[in-house]
Amino acid sequence: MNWKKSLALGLSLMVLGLLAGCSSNGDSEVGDVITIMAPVLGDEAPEENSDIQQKLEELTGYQVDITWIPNSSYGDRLSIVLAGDEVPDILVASGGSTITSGVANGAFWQLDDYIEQFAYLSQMDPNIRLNASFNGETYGVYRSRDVIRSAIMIRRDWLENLGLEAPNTIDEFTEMLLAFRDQDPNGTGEETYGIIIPKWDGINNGGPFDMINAWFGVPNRTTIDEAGNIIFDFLTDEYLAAMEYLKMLFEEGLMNRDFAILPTDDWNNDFVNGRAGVIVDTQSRGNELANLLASAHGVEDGSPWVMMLGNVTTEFADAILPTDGFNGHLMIPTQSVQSEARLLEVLDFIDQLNSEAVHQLLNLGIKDVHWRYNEAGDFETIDYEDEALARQNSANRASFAQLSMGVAGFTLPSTLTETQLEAERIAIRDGEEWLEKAIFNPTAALISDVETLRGATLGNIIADARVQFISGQINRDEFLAEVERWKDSGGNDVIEDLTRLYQVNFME
Amino acid sequence: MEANSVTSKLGGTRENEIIDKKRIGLWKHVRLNKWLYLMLVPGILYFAIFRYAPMWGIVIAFQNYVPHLGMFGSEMVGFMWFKEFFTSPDFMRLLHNTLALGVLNITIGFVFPIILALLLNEMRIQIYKRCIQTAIYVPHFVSWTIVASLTTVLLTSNGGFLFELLQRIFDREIHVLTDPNLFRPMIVIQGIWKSSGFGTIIYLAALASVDVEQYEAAIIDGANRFKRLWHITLPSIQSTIVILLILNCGSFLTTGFDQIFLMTNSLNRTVADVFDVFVYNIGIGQGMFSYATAVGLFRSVVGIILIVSANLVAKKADPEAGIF
Repeated sequence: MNWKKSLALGLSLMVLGLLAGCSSNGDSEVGDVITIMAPVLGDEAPEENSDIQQKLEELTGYQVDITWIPNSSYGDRLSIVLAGDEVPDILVASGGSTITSGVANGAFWQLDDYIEQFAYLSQMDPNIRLNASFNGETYGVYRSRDVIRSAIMIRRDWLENLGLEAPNTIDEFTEMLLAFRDQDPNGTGEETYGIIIPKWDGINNGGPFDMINAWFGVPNRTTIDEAGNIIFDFLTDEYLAAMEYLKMLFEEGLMNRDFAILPTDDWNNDFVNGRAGVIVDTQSRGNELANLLASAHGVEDGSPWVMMLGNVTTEFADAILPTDGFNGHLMIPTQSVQSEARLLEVLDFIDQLNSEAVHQLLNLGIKDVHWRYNEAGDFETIDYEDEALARQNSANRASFAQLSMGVAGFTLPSTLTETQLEAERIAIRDGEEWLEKAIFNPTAALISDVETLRGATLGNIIADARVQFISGQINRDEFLAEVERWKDSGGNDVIEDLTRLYQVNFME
Repeated sequence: MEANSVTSKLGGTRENEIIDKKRIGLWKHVRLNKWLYLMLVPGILYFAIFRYAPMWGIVIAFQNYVPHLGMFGSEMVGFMWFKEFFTSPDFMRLLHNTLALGVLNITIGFVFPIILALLLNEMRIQIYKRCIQTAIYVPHFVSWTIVASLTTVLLTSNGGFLFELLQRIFDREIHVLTDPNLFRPMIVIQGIWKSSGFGTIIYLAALASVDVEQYEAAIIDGANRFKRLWHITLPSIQSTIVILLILNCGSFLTTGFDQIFLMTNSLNRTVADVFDVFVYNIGIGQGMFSYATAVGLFRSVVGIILIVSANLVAKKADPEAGIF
């Protein structure tokens, strides 16, 4: 009799566990608070009911509840959240195989039939919309980004100290790096080197290697030959030439020795501390470096220390790596939004995020609180004296900017007084000639099922081989052997898949 | 067990209760020792809720689990994921790496605490011995993230203290963090630094219960230090060693995820990739929950087989030994 009691106890515990797993997914109804999940790039997430959030609710007429997740773990959290109970109404998604397999399995609403109904969403740029699509179908509202975002950041004061001009060709670039290493640009006698490259996971995701590859005319992930075959970038001769160049940089001590393990969080350190002189990354890092160096010297403008260039030319090309015009989407999961009525409500909210007023709110802050038009009609930011408050404010604005899509193409007002650095940046970002030098990826819209299944491991094969080659651990033949291994592990299937998709979608 | 008559301070003598248990029934036995059983409750709850209750989720290893279809909506695919795993080009490499690290951990990592305990046991000055005991026990509580950060900071080629020291001693650059040949030694040394203290404490406790008279008798008989060690000390902790060995066998394929994940980079991935990191990459990184569960299940099954076999072998050698 007594063992029966303990058996009953044990069974009821297990049933409890069962029940916990079987709780039904809350689906949201029309009129509910709109739940959003978004990444936060900095250290601090906006507090509950921050002033920007309240203004947002006031302008759009909807109550929102935003969950901010740190960007470094955002990819992992995506898959867990989608598998869990508390799926939000809107998900800021930055791509990756979780998203593509979710799309394939119907986890997100297809929006093609609904876009035209909305004032701002219908103004989407058709080219970017195509790039952001999944094999031609729209499953989310893309977040518009400048097309030309890459740049070379150089210590301007080092160039001046050594009497050098900004490099135009790759040879001048190498000369400059050698000078940075040998000629004591700081005047302090400390050891210095040329360029800083951090540990970068994955391939074709806008990293410094991809940006440098573009100078050598390497295709942006894929290119199509005359016969209509898809050729991946690492199968080209230009790719090997770029890698030989990087290998030379490493061997000559012109690149940091720990490039295989340096965390991206520490990328700025050597540049700001005066141990290295060059970083290749997005233009926004240039602003970051300028701010850091400016506050280190107690001034406002960091231009004396940071210069921005677009690219350097090589014998192969005069080119620059563009973005696809977008970075991620705002997507609507089918698990949380189950009725069409609710979908239209959520889409209306997203549409309103694209209106001029809300677009400015998300990116700049509250008008007349964080920024205003002064008497002359010029835009200016309002600074807070309290440092902590100022920091919280700029963190808030950076976080809410993650929700900004800007599909209707409204430009943001900005300060007219440009620093030298800002002028260089705008020349690269908006310059017509840079758009022409950009190498675009012709298969940006295509998603291969094989890649969704095996993408990460396949990408790692090439990413690892690249690092191993540059650091001298493997030679050219072994690298090519790794590329063969990529092909055998599924790479050939990916090529086949993409070729078929390309022919279906683009060659009718 | 009947031979022991340890007096329980909380509820009567154990000897009586063990003999009487059959007569007084289970619940009376529990009530008499209720405080002892109450102490067990948190542990039991923990295992029941976090280990046993979720076990039914293993079913997704046999499905093509899609999160938004849920467990009852995803289709059953039988052994597809297991086939995919065993035929994948990664499998042999993962198996090789995991086995290599497992064997190294069991041989070196297991022997080290015993040696340490034996050495500490010989110490005369008690306060010195206690200080060392505490000092080697502390790393056990330090999280792997901190250990990895410490290792990186000390060994980085960008000015790490140990890196420079090694460079001066051996007159060349030794890239411990990125050299595939040095990866396994680094992991084993890290593991020893962190977890030897724990095993040492257990062995020291076992050694403390050795009868002093036996030592005195051996000295009279003319046994030197090593003979005493071999004939008295080691046999007395034999059962402890066997139990810990069996437990270690079970976690043979569970090379610590935290440690390996943090120390892996592009240059040592060929030797660093183990099952745990693979499961993380495909399960959480790529959202392929079914595949990851299948691999995890495979690992658990191998672990169970190893424990049961080790236990059987132990029992054959000595019927008193073994866990079950």
